[in-house]
Amino acid sequence: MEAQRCPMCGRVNPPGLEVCQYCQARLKPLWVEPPQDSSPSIEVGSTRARTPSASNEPLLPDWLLESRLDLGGESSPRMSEQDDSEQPLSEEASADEERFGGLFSDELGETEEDVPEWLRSLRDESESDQGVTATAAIEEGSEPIPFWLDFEEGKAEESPSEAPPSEKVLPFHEMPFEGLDLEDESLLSEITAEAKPISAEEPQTVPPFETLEPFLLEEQPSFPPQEQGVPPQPSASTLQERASLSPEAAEDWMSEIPSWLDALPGQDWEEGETAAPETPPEFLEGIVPPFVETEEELSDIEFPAWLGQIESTLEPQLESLMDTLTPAETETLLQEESLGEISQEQPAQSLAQEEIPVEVVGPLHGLRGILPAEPLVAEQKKPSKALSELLVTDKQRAQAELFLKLIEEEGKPKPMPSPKRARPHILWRMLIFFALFAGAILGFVQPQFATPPQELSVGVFDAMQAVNQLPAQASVLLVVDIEGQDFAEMQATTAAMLDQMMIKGAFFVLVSANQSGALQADRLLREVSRLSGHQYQPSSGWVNLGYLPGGVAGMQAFSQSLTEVLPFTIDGEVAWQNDRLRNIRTLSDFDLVVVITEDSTRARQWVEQLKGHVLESRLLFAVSAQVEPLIRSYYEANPRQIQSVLAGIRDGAIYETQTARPGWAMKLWGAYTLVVLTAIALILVGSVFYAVLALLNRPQAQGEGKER
Amino acid sequence: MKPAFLRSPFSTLITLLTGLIVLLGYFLDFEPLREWRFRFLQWAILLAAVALFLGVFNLLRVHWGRLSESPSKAVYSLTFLGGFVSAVLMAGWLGIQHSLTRAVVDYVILPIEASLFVIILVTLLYALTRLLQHRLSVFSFVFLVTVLLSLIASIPLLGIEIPLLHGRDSLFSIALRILGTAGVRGLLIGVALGSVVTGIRVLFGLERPHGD
Amino acid sequence: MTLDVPYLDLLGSALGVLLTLLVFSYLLGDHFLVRLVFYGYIGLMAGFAVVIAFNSVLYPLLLQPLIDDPLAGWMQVAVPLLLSGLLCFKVSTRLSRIGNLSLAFLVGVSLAALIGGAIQGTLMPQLSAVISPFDLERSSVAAADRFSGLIEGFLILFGTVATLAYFHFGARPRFSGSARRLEWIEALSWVGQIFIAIALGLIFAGLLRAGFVALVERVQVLLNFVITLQQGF
Repeated sequence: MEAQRCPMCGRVNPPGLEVCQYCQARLKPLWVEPPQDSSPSIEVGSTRARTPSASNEPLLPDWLLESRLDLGGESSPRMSEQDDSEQPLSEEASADEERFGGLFSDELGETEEDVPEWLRSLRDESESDQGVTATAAIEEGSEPIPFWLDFEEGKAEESPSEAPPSEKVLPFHEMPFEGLDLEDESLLSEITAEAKPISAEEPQTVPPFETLEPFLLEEQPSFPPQEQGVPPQPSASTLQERASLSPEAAEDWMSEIPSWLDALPGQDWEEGETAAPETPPEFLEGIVPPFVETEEELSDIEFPAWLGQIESTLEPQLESLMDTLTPAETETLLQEESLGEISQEQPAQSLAQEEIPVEVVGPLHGLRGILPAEPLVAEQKKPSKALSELLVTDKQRAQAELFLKLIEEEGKPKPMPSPKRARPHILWRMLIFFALFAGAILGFVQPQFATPPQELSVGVFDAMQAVNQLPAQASVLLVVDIEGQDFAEMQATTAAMLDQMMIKGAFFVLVSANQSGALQADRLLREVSRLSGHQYQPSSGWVNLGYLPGGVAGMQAFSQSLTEVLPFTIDGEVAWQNDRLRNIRTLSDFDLVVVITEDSTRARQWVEQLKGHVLESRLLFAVSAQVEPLIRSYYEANPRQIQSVLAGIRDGAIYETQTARPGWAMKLWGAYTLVVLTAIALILVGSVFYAVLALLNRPQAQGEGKER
Repeated sequence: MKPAFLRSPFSTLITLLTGLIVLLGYFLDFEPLREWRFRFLQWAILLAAVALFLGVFNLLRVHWGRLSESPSKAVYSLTFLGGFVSAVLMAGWLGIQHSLTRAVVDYVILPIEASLFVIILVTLLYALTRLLQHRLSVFSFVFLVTVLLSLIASIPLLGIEIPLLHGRDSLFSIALRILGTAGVRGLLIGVALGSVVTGIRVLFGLERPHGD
Repeated sequence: MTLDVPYLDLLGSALGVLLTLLVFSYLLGDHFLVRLVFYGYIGLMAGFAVVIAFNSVLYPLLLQPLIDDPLAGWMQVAVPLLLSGLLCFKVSTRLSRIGNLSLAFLVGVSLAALIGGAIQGTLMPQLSAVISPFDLERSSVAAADRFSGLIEGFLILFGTVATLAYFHFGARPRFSGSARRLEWIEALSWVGQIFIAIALGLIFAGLLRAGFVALVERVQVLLNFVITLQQGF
């Protein structure tokens, strides 16, 4: 077996598959065209015959059967019922009728061999659904093809070798790019561009959509014959049949033709012809009752038993009623009756219009009378260029869908948030402020409420050890990266430690990686010196190198060679000529390096940049409480990256308690504890209040959301 | 859109070369490399200081321009310019460690900054109390409980020591240490990874935070 | 309660108190005086920053070499001067592209320092800290505490991985158009959020504690000022 090419997407599939592994289109035909000799030839007026043989029936899967039934709607079973009541079919034929939903309910003429099977079935289906009258009963050479298929016929007759019929009905294919926006102009233009050459080659071909339009709009004027191609010419046998019709019957019959049927090709010549009155059109057999001219013919028809009962009941009453009428009244009634017959046909006609199958999938969704694509699947043909250009992988398809969805989401109008009324939350904020303020005042006025922290934390212990191990007259580098807002906390954290260093006579070198820190560093030492009773002064007690710009670059350069990077003090004096600093050339020359910061990013950057330049045992961090969780990760690492961490006022207070030299931290501690207690109470009360408020408003909010 | 390194190849080349030299000097103990690395770092410090000057210059230009606008705006700009000139005169002429300069720092700058922090504190507390109203979720609840327990554990409650809460070896301390360390360590590693990846992208010209 | 405010500093304290109360009044809303205070504060800080940067960096690194030895100084400062000159073009809107060369240099150097520091100072040590509890041979923990240390190490490892999983944003697109992470990563990141919430809760509590100290310090200044006034008058 050879590889099979999918007629829908054009990809090559391995032999043996029934459906395309890419687009799931059927690869094998649903039924095989039966051999010509197996299709029974049917004469006009005889009972219908079924084209598919029994051997082909298994080819029809259940889903197709269902789709056929869906496609046919309820019309087909109804039609079958009518058929059964008037023209009983054979058992096999009846079963097929139900099964195929009228798909194969063709009435084939003797010379219909050239018409494709699918075209026959579709034509018949549409004709029967429309309730087309005898005007369509044109004989075979001009088989009553609906006008919207006429372009095919005409073209096939004119240039049968120019293009296969399947290409002409290209728009009826089920496109393998479901999900793509076919209303997109670019896409449409692309498809149109592909379709143009075909139409250019076949100017006489009417585009299928255009031919569909009058069909759907039923009252629209017909296309000029030159636009619809060459109309099918009646054969001699048909003309003969028409000539045999009585003029009266033809007149009656033709008078009932709706105007839209005038659009059918070939109607222009038909007006002058005579029609056979007693012969109903072939395709109406089983749909409309036979045309009856005389009571004798009526008696030949077998009516159901129940109809006979009604007739027997009503007949005497009608006769008595007729007797009472005057001749003038009788004539009036007859005229009204004839008018009523005409008016009753119009709703029937519109009903039949509703029974036309409606396309439910694909780009032609919603249009009536669309050629189903399935039969075309069976035709092995080269896919059109337009289709092959749209081949996409699953991933691309998913991405395209995602993109389209995003665009769609963006395009959706979003409701503007309703402007909320400004609420007086300022009261709650003021309450918080004044409560904290009152707590602080109470803490200062009544310091006995506060209990000094007693327990020695590991960080404080390590810091005390490092300071205690400092030699006398040690040189200490203080990296002071603090802002004015945190000055009080940082002073409380470091005051005890700096006090101990001052006691040992340490000389400080100050540096800061922010401008404010350069200002605060001086103040910090001055305040500690003043509060602790030391006489520390600039130059004799410390050197402020000032501001180190450049962020991490500055830190790294400073770590590599601090004397070259910052050779002057903040006041522009030479820094490293101080007697206490003559031996300092690198960071490792300092006895201790203390980083004082309230910024977690700067703390991390200093840890990173000082690594390798300062021994871990000589590196201390005195940080704000907000930095503690972060810097503790470095402190508790194994091996440690820093010697110790002093964090917040609590560690400062512990340090002061342990050294028995109460300082700045202990001065604030009492008020601090009361403020923290007040804050805890506020958080608890406020959170519970607002949480309850949220829970109470939740059903209301959910209701509003549902309404939206 | 063109990649960054195609839009301005010369700038990208400079970034790449200087970055590679500094980076290699960080890890390789090769004297010429170390020397060039230090030189580059020093120039970077200088450029950062010049950038600070340019920033302040731009600020001055804007406020100078606003002097000719409406009087209400001019008052603010005039205050800014007055503060700037007085600070330059004080710090530049008298020196940073002069008593007048120190007084300005002590009695003007520091009170403003500390008071602003108090305003932020009140706002943070206010936001914390309304957290559950805006986002009633597990994470909000965990966050709130952690804040509360951490505050409670940081102080003795009027001299009362709660056994499970206070103390270095209390259950809360251990749990908070382990859980907090785990979370912070994850954040730190994430930040470091992000820094490295972003840095490499910028060095190789895939991103240009400094314009085209 | 002791008073720390010297009498000579009373005027300065009054100014400090006044500024403090003005900034506190911002809680009631923005007003003219607060704005004046903020603009003046920014001007002061800008002035100090310029002077500090000039004294600390520009003068010693750029001008001093030229003053000391003009010839050698020019050789020394030629490149940084050129780079600084190019950077000055950033002020001009029309010629700002010229300044990109200096910025490119600054960015390259800073990023290299950042990358090196992050790898050597954070990434390697923190990864080592995560796995070190499982290295029982090198563990410094006493033998009796090794089991608890192991459990602690496991919890920290799990929390670290879960936290990192939260920052894993790789997701596969679905046919429905949505994109979602793998299920197990989703579950792990949910746990990671708990750890992140705890870590951020600790940091937030620290921020509040720092703010409390600032408030207490301001209240102390106000009280001292009031007491000083009472004693003085």
